[in-house]
Amino acid sequence: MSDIDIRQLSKSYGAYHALRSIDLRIPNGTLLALLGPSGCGKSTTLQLLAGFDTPTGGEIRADGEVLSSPQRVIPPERRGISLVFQNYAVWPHKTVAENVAFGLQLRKLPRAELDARLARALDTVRLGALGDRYPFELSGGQQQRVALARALAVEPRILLLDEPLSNLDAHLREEMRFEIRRVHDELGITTVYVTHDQGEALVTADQVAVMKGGIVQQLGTPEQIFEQPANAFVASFIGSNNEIAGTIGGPGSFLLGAQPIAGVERASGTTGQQAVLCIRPSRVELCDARATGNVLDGVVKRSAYLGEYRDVLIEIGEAGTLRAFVAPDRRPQPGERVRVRLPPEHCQIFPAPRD
Amino acid sequence: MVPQSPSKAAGAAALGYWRHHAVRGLVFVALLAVLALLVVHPLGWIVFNSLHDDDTGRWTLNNYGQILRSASLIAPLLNSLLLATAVAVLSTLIGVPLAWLVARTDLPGRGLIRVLTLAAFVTPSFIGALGWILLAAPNSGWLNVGWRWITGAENALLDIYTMAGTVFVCAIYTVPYTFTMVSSALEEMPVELEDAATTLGSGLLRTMRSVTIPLVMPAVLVSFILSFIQGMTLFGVPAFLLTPGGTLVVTTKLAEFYQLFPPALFLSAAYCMPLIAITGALFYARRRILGRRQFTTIGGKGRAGRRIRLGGWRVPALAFALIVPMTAVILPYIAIVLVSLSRAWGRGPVPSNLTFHWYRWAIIENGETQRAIVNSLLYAGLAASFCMLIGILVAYIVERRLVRGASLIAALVTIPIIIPGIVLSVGFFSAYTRPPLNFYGTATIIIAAFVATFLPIAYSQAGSILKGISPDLERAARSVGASEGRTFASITVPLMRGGLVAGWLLVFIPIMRELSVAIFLVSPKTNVMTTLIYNYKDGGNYEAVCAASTLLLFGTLLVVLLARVVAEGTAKRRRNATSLGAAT
Repeated sequence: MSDIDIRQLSKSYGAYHALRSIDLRIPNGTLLALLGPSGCGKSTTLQLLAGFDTPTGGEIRADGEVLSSPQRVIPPERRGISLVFQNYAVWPHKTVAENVAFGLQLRKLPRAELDARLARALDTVRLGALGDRYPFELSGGQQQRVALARALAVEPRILLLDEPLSNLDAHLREEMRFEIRRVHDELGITTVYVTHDQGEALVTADQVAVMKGGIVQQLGTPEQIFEQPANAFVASFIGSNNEIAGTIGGPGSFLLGAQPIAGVERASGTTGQQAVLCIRPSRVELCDARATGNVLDGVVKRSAYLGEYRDVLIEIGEAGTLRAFVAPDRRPQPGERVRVRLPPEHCQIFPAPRD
Repeated sequence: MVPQSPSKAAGAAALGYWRHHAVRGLVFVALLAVLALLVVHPLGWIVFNSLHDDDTGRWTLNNYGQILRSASLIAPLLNSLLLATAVAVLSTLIGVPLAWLVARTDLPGRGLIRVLTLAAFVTPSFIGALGWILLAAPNSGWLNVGWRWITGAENALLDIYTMAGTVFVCAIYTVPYTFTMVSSALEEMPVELEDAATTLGSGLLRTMRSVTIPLVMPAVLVSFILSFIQGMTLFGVPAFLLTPGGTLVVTTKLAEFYQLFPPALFLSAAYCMPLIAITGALFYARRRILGRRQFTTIGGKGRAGRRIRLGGWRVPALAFALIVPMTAVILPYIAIVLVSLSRAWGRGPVPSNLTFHWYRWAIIENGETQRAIVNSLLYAGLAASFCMLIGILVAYIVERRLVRGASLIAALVTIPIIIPGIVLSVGFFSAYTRPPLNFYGTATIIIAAFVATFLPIAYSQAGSILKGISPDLERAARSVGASEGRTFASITVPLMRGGLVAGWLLVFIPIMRELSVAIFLVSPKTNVMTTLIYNYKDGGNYEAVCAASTLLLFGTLLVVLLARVVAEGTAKRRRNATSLGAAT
């Protein structure tokens, strides 16, 4: 267990900048998810953390010790960092027990201790009964557990997970999310979890770092990321989102055409500057025609019943459309005129970046 | 859970950093040194010698001038070009239709023809030439004897000691290359490509012209080039069939330089250059062709049951398809085995003439053959093992991009592909038969020359095995604490095992049958089977030569079978194991 300190870490491949000077502090015992679309730099960060690649700039420290810098990279086997791979990378020529015990054998542990730690690792991932099997006799989920047990058996100070669930089918994936969180709660190893699946990140992580274009867009708890996104990208990448284009009308005010909408200003902008208003569909309320204050009039274009809620698409004049998730017992019909209320505390106003 | 205190961990990590780089550097430098000794040094001597005067030791272009001025030195060059062109044309004319018949039509006995054609592949061509001397020498050849007996004619039907005979024998042992390449191109071509043309209303011939032929063209061109190179660089066949009539080609002329006393080292070095230039240019052309058009080998559906019906052409087609199996395998093998079992082969294969004497002689009585058998197996085994070891290390470094100079060592292990065996023999002779590196007459020089010759095969084999192993399997080991070396030994090598046996065989077999590389380097004590057969043949004792040849052929076969059994045993035990390790 240890904390990780990433300072101004950069990585370029020729003219391509995979990482642009990122800073991340990961406190001891935290499970941090690196979340982002492909090409955002999350896998590069992981490769650098694991020591398989040399940074172009900046450094990585664990417990104050420099692990990676452009001048010097401690080789992977000397870092005390275990990595679980997307494709499991379970050795096909070794049994489950041999896979898990490999790292322990390298440490030349006494027989009894080796056996005890092997058994403990297998039990942790609930594979105790399958030690003698070969990997090809296991399901994908079981192979992933072997990979996890193998990484845990050596009692690493840091655990890295590289999209560990993306090769599993949907049902298993959901189950394994909780499994990974449970293992983390049990052992408390500082963990970095790379994923492009927001659901995985929200369920498993203490902290989420949303990345795009080699830059950390936001670092925060799952709640912060979801409720107070740092910018329109984060708002749209995590969960469903409405984006309405307009201008800044003043402090805490957004102008949609001439109509002012009150909201939370997430970054300071000047009056008249282009801006985006973001609101989650689940926060949009259908209200009756007499309601006032932060309301918009529109026409229902489409209404889809999704069981737990109803997904309603509303045309709001020139500003485009707005999605609202409403209670399933409300039944707005296409063509029906409706009024929606945008609660000010859920309206996030982002000034458009000045070019 | 932290096994070490932070400061101690930092110290260990720093130590690991240095050790890691030291090991890497050491392995890399060692490989460079080995490759310099095996490749750069011998070739360097050829270049150096070719530019120096034999007597004065000064720099000169005189060696090249001498070649250009002397008709007796130009003639072998022209003969080689003629031989190579004719071999390439003939093996394309036989090999391409043969490949099509086996891959695409309902020709009867396809499986057997394929096996026999591949048997021609593993037969050393100079042993084939020996078989054809027994069959078609103008006076004593059995086919000629039979012809005279049947027709009462005075003259021989066939004379193998001619350029035509040499072209024929070279070609039938070169056809397997053409056959293998073209038939696999035909088989790997997705059936949909042809079906698409058919659905657009294209007939069989039109489809062949517009789709099939253009798609196999790269394979045909490449096999033409390889056949040409074979024709240029073969030594044994022209030595057996052309030298007796006084016709020389480049390779046999080089051998002649070495029979002079003292050997004409400097002139022969210059004489190697045209050969290297031609093979180098052809390999470059091959690369260009393969590099540009690799679209033929995208997997498609199998074409089982979708064969073209030959109808009335079945019998003539079968007769054509049997040319290579008959002439390259069945007839010469029968002749060699029968002669090896004869007291005197001139008396013909009659019961009173049969004897096991020559085998008893070769295995029990004659020290020379005994030693050569042991030498062949020992040298080939050692050389194949060293070769694979170097090939694996280089392929690993290149595939996993471990060090910056990786492309340099990749180039070094690939260079010998353009160096004909006889030239390499010249190089090793020049480099390692003088102080301070005098290995003349030792096993070392022969094994080293074998290793150098077959490095390219070993490297490409190892490379293709490694491409099938996901680097993540290795990284996983690193991340739980295994060093690079330990990862290589515990993860990479075991995963390669099945492929390694096959790769080792692919090096072992050609070493067993290699003649030209060893020819200048052997001494009476270090003779191998091939050089011994070559020397005995000069002595004219055909019965002994045939017994030794049969032993070589079946000895090689035995090793192949043995290795197969071992490989399959491992494969069975691990069943699907390796498929899991495939790169994703």
